[in-house]
Amino acid sequence: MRRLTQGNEAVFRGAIAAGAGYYAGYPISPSTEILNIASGWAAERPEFCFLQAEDEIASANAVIGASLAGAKSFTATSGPGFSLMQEAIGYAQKVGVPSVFVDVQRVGPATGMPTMPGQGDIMQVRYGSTGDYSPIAFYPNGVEEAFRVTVDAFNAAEESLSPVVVLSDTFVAHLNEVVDLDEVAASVKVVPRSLAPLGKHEPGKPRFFAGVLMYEHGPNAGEPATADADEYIRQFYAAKQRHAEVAGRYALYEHGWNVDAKVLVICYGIVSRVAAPLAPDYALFRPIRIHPLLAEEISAFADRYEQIVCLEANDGQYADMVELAIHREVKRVPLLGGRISLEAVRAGLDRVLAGGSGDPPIPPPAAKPVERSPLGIG
Amino acid sequence: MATRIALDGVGGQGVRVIAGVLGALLARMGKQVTVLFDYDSSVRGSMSDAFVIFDDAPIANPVVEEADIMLKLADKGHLRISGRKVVTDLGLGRSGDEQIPFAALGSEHLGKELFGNMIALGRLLRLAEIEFNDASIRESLPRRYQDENVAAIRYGYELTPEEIARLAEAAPPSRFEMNDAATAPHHRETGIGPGGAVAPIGEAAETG
Repeated sequence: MRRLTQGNEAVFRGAIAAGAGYYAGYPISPSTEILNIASGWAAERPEFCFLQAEDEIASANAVIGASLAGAKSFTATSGPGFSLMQEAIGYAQKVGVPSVFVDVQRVGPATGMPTMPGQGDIMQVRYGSTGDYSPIAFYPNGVEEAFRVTVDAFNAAEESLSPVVVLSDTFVAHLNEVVDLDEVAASVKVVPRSLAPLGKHEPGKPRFFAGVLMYEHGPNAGEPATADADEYIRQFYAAKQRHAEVAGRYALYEHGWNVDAKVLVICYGIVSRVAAPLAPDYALFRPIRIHPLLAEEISAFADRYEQIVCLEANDGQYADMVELAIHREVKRVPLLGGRISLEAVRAGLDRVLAGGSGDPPIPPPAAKPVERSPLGIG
Repeated sequence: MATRIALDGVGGQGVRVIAGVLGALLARMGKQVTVLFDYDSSVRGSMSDAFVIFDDAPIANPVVEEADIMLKLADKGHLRISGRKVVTDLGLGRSGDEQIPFAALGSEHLGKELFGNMIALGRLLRLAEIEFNDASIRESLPRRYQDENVAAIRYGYELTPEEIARLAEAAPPSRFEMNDAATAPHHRETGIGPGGAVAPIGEAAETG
């Protein structure tokens, strides 16, 4: 049915459409609706399992346990909770656990500005846990897309045997748009569960769960390989190659607005919506698969433009990655403190295209009590 | 041409309900609609804001920075954006282009001041030039108090400029009780947990 649907609800519905059977979580704004909806869903459907855990650490580990036991599983949190989940995410990367982690970003670090929208977890997704791994992550900018990329995330998780992240933000999460998710659900393809439940041994497919490096094949199979660089390198590149192949199937992006303009604006999530009135004067590159970086695509598009500006609600996290990848300057307009507004975008662009810094001017200390502006305007 | 509406008040007044019903109604009318709520755990007496935009064409930017119509129901509202037409509850510290004693009218005509939020919705429908369609409105409202809510919306919709001017002169200040509760400690009723879930718009929320 075509009806107003919230971004967080669309993420949940996407998970269900993808075959999710287990949710564990701990409430944190602005992700809490996902937990609330999951609990209501489970109350009416015994086949769907729900756990409100004691914290995010337990939630993440419960999700991994459920996946090992055979269920497509997921959780949702925000930046501070996502930090607590990082150890479990690293474990899931090492052990190869298909799972989905939703991070609805607010302004950090720490509790920061819990009611305000931010995009400060781009690097946390990429490098948040220990060691080297190559995560896959998506970041929608609207309600229908939130549904679609959640399905993609579950599919990519099964194909890559890894935890896949869906990024969102306060505004995308709390945005209501008119969509018919039943119709969308009928159009998506779902990758079936890839692994048998723990305990159902499949010949030739040994699995190890300790988190330490183990020989998986050959004469030493089942023995620890904790001091064998060769085995580490074999397994590391096998995972890296697998993730790259899977990510390549989901090279989702938008290139649009005025493609003949001189300046390419890179932005994602809600910033791409707020900046949309710039469409007549700028070209847009919007990564939807935010990790791994769409380096080839960005390089190819960047060649067409005189300047590249990255608008993001953080201090240039995506811009850093793009600059490293394409070996040319990427100007930055940081939208900080939840101030994600067209006015702030225009002011930043004006500064940076005039040759100045994209950083906002530092406001003087308040002389009188200030009013709060929860929607980030002002 | 998009119409941008900003709603500013405190939790308990029905800001979210007004926005939700309005959004559901516009969706039923086949419009493109975005409704953007603030903080998901907004609670009684703390900030509560919403942006509603509707258009015949898809809406790119759901954030309102300059409202065509702005409805303010509390002094403790937090939005600092401008509105081309500002409607306030009569008796607030900040006056608008139009001051209507919503809470007093709700109490006087429907027995509860909280029906004032549906009177405000009726006025919004008029100002936004949205047709009053009884059936569509009913479908967009929760079942509970539906007749009262429809009556309240109709009352607000049928208010004339002359009547509004007369009310502003004659009526005593009209402040939603919640407006005074704004000084109470935040989060005394947690919005977390199943009871705090955001009901699907136009379904379970109560308005009366």
